[in-house]
Amino acid sequence: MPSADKEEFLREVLSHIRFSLDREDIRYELESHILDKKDDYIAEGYDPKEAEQMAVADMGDPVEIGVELNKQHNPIIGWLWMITNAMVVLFVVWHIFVLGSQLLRLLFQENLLNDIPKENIVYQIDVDEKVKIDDTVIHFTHVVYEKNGDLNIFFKHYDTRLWGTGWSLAGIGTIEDNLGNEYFEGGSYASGGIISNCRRIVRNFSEEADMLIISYDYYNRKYRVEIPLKAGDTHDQDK
Amino acid sequence: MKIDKGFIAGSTTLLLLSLLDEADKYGYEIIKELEARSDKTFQFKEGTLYPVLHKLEKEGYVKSYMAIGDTGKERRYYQITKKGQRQLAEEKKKWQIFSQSVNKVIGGEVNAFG
Repeated sequence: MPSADKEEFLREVLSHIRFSLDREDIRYELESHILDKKDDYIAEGYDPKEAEQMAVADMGDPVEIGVELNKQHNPIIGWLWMITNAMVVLFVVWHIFVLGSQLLRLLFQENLLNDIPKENIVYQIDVDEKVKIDDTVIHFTHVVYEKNGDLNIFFKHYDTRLWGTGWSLAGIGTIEDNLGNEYFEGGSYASGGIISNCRRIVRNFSEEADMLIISYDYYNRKYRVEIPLKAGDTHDQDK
Repeated sequence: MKIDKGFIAGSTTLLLLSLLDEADKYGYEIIKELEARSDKTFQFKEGTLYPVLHKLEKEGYVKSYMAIGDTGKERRYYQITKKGQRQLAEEKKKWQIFSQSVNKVIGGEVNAFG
């Protein structure tokens, strides 16, 4: 005889369902059925306890039901389905995250320039020089000379084609001044998404120099940019 | 007369699909409807209905959804699909042929179910 206790009946049925994620739904469906039938028995005049026992007995053999239900809830297909869904969600979330962070970076592009405290600046020159290597555009935007002798070159670089070959920018080239000095020491920062924001620091740049020369000549790609410094002299005095 | 039988053993696709062809129903509704229409000839082990419903769903003959019905409680409703309706027509035809043949053998009216 099937058990007449509702919880015991449900537990027995569910114990045969191997695909655990479907258990809750099955439990809810079967329990609703028992409770509906119990209500009908109560309406016919049975007392609640008796009504529930009769309703459970009407369900039949929990082992048979559990075994047959399990056949319809295949764990392999079930899990494959869940995993596929999860991967689609992850893929979408990841793309939103990547695109979102790139947008944020675009919005806060000018931040690198703010890294230099105002009181350290000897002069700042706004530049607008663009050069192109293959599909990569390098856009020089600012030159800032600091009291400690550091010359900071700010530039952006980006690909003209979104999924372009992406000339990997090993460096912006040789840094010289009009006095014949060549500078090697320094460092650089970059933060980037679609457009990379970069800051190249040149140590101990001559205070006397009137011209910054950036020349690039690698792998048959060439450019030369001359940036006049200390338009600066007057700039400074204006302040 | 009572025919006491589980859903699993019997060929109940025809009965279930034709009930669902009239309206979307949840499990207990289906049971009540079957009992009422057969004057309680069909008295089922009610729990065995669900493996059959879930099988029909897996085969694409019905689909299920949660909804709050007249009783104000949330229930899993089953709805016949286009595929289910085609299957129903097929099963009806088979049943007619079958019942006619049985009648011929036992010497009843050939067109009793026709």
